[in-house]
Amino acid sequence: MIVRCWIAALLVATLLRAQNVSPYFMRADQAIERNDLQGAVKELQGAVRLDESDAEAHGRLGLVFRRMGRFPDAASSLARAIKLRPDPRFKVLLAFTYQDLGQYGKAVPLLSETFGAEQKVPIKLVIGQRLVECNLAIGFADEALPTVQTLRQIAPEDPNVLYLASKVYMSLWNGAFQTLLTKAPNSYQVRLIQAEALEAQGRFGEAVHEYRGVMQAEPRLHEIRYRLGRALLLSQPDGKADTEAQAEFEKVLEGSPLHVEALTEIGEIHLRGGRREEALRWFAEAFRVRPAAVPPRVGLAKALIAEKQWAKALEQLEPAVKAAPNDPSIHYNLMLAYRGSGRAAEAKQALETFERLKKDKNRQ
Amino acid sequence: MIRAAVALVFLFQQEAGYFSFSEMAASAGLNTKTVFGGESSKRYIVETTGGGAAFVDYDGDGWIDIFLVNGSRFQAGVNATSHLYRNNRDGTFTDVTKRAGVERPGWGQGVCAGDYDNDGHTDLFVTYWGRNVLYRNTGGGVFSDRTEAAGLRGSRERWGSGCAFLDYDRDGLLDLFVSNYIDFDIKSAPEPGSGPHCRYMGLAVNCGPRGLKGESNLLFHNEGGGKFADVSNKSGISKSGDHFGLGVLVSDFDNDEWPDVYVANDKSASLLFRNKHDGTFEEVGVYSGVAYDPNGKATSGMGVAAADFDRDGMLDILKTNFTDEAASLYRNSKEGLFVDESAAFGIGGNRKWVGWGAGFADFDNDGWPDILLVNGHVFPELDTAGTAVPFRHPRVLYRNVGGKRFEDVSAKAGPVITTPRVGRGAAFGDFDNDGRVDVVINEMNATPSLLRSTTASQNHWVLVRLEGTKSNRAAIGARVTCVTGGLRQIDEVRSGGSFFSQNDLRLHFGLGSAQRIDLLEVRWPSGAVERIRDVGVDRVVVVREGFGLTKAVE
Repeated sequence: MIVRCWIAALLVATLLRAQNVSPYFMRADQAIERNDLQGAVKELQGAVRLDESDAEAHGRLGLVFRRMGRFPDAASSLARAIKLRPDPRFKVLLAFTYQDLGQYGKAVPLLSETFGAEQKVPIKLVIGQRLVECNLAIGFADEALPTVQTLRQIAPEDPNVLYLASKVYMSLWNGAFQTLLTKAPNSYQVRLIQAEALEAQGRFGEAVHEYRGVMQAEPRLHEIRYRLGRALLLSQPDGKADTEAQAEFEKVLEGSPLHVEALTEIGEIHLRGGRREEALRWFAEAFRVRPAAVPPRVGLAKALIAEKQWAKALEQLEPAVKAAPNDPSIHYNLMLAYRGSGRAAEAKQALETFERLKKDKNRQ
Repeated sequence: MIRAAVALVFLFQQEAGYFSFSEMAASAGLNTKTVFGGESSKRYIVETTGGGAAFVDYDGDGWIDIFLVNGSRFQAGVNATSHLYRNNRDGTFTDVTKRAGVERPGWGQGVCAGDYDNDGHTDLFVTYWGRNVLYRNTGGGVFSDRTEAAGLRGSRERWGSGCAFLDYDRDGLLDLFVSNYIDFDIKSAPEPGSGPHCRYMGLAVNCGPRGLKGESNLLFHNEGGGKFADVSNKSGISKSGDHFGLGVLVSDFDNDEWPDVYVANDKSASLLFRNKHDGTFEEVGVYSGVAYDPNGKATSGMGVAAADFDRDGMLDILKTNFTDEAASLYRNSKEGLFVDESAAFGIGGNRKWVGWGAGFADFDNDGWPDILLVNGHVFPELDTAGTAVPFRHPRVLYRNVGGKRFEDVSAKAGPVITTPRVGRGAAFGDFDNDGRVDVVINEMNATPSLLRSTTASQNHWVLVRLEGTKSNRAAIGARVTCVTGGLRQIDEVRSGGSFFSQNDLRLHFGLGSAQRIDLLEVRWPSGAVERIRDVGVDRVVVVREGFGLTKAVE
């Protein structure tokens, strides 16, 4: 599409050309229309012979060579055109040609220059994606990172952009992990990464095993103990691991008594177990430590709703929903609390938001 | 001092013998195995749901009989049928299936009871993956299939699941609500392991319900003359769309004297249809707080039960769910507005089992309804694969501690409760008329269980049988308030419920130490209110609409 636009632009430019090369261009265009690319080359080569300094003739010839798959000839013609007139369109075409030739190192500076300068979003997207591909091809994932970030700002939901972003992040992750494996193969960090990868795949039981290995190597890592507790809960959602997980969270608090997440998790365990007073105590402590934290507020609110303390629950939920407006569970509990307080209109509004967020989530 | 010692001894005896049941199925003659799909593996989801159970007095002799829904198997030569067992009044039952004419084979699912033609004989409706069947009780212990004549055959084969008779327009004729599970066609059904919804704990298992198409619920209006009309659209029931509908529970949840309908949906939000008093319903599940768990997440609803477990004058809802999800205990906090208080009441910690049959029953007659949950997984492959989650699950028994919390007393009740099984439908009723609530459980690919309550208790009780005259004859939808001293209990005569099952239509009230009932108030579906004062305890009483207490059997 973009190439076609450029061809149109070139055609316009052709009209402005000196009369002597114009007939060649016209005949070349007619040949292209007939799909006679060889004939087009002949005409354009004639134009070049007539006026060696005509950048347009070189550029058009490069374009036809690209269409024929004669990339080395295309590169040569386009390079000559740029030398005569540094037109960004020729630069982009030359960069694409270098990419097609596997000469990624030569493509990158041209793409970087044109990516930075280009203002039209669809063209910028294409150039940016090519730039990322070239950088990845030569193993410069870190160089690709800023481009990926710009592309994600321009087109946050574009599947091509997201795919490339994933490739860049994965490549960076692999690179760092390979280095870690080479430099410190027996370090706890290796097990930690394995644990996190297992957790990301939903293999919580295996993650627990790895986290335990980390804890053996570095018992003072409270944050890891917290993650061990979380993985324990997730590995056995039927509640069998609640006690063990709670013990891990309590050990976290021995080392870092202000660990809000651990305090909240213990509160949740008590809440699920029907020990409301205990739950309230832990949530309140978490809340005291960090009043801006959302999960203890929501936990506290759930416990208060169970006690029909609607107003007190709302005191927690209203700031929580401001801090986390896209969390459906907060809107659901808001609905319950407003409803209980007799504030039907607000309850219905919370219900609508809850259902909308739920729908969005399902769509994702 | 002596009094204290006696009290202590009594307390000890209570504790020691607390909630005891004996397994009576074999000795009672309930020896027919329920067939339901493959035993070691199940290729399709249709093999997983299992059948319901009913305690129903089909011969009107005052002793409840048992009906057990049977299924089928994808294997030639399997020709299982449901079974009807007549109560011999001596702790045994006689299989009268053939004589009664309730032998229809197929993939039977649920059962519900009601007297749809007001002839004084309790009729049965049985759902199938296929065509549902209406058995009209013609008297003399015989039923006839009136599905076609009643207009209930349906335009196509569907997967009928839960059902309940109800008089939603209070015209004195019982209407019928039927939930449907999945739009399931064996020809296009995906194979185990063939998609993201066909794997469980790394095993290739039968697919669904996610990834399959749901079905809508059906409401049939009783037109009189033995005919029903499909009013699903007109009444607004079908407006809520397709779901994976299972258990159906009918009660007046908002105390407006009109029956509402709750449907437990698998893997999606459950539904509450509020009766608008004009022949239509409005679906208000989410706003009412009975669609989701406390985090606003959908669970896998299966079985359902209602009771005023905290005695605040409003009926609460219990719903069983899948493993990793606690059973939902929705406490009615204000005229049909609920909060899931499963955690607060002590049943939130138990997320190990897949729950099916469920019931509130006052097993120790202390005036506080207790809970029994019947469990079992859906994938028999779990047993051979040696996963952490087994196929067979124990039952769970909770004692209601003064309406403040539920205490898990399963272990105290012994192996009758704790032995792992694959339970499905469960019906609650007093089959030996001794004032203690018994339970019949339909097991999957096994003979049924009949749990006779042997709980030792000095507490008193009453069983109330209602007979409508202006209201429907079975008095379905009538609300009874039983007042003894400071103790005020309510319950309603209910068709359907639990998981695909039918409880005893008589209402059981535990009365604690009360020697007399101060007041029995009956609010009939016709709108009439009857108050009977100073009633004796430990007996079955019969109240006829407009005639008061007509019979008492001690």
